[in-house]
Amino acid sequence: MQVRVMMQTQVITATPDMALAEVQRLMRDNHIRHVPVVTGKRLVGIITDRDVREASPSSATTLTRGEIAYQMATTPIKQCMTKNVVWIGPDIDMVQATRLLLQRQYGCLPVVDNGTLVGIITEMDCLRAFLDTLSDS
Amino acid sequence: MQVKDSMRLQVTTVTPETLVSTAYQLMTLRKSRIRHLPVVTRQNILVGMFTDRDVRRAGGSDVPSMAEHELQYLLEKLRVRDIMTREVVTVRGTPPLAEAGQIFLQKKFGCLPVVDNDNRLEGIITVTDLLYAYVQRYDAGEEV
Repeated sequence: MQVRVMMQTQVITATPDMALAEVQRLMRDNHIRHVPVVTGKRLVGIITDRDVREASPSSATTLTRGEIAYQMATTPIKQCMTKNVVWIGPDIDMVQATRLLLQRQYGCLPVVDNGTLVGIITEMDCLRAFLDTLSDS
Repeated sequence: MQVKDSMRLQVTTVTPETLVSTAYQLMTLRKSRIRHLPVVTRQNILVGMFTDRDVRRAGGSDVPSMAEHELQYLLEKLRVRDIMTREVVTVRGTPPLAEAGQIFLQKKFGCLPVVDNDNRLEGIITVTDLLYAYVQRYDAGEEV
């Protein structure tokens, strides 16, 4: 089973200049933890909920609420996103994609075709592929 | 393939009386990156789950700007029973693996405790365990 069959093609993306606060809202509103960062359609990075958490001041700092909000609203995500993203092509097998996900302990893999982001694979997509093979046999 | 074929038997657990700071240490000190700790009584009866999300909700975070002593103070006042998740979805060991898989997909969980008829903890199964089963099945030469 190829990645292109199981991947999600409606991908929510961010741009490098988007503020931390904005991408945080994007994650919360859509219940997602990973957001590919694109310039046009070209993949330039990925940002996770963990990246945002680690970059944001905690509620126990001496900063005021307003100062925290200001920092979150003015810091662009390109400062804390992962830039060297491991991606896969749409024609590789789901088993290979799953193996990569497990080896690297990633939560998701962007799918890139001819330099363009065309989809995303998460561990839940790999699980669906597995369940499909179980029900077929 | 049944749930019990892929579940983990070696499970780190805590009790309702365990200090949150101790439980938090168990989750963060280990290299294995534990995100879910089953909460059991002395009789090994499952009474809840303690997750990193519970800790975050209770006010702790891994942000370095939070002073270490502040975090410690916050966590040392609390016990696991104060912030654990009590409504826990469980599976038994005997159903086919696919049944656990369906629960993961529907509920979007990452981890399910495996219990016997008396709600005694036998192990846990995670999405990662299922994915290993997927890869191993392929490696074993079966048609995938």
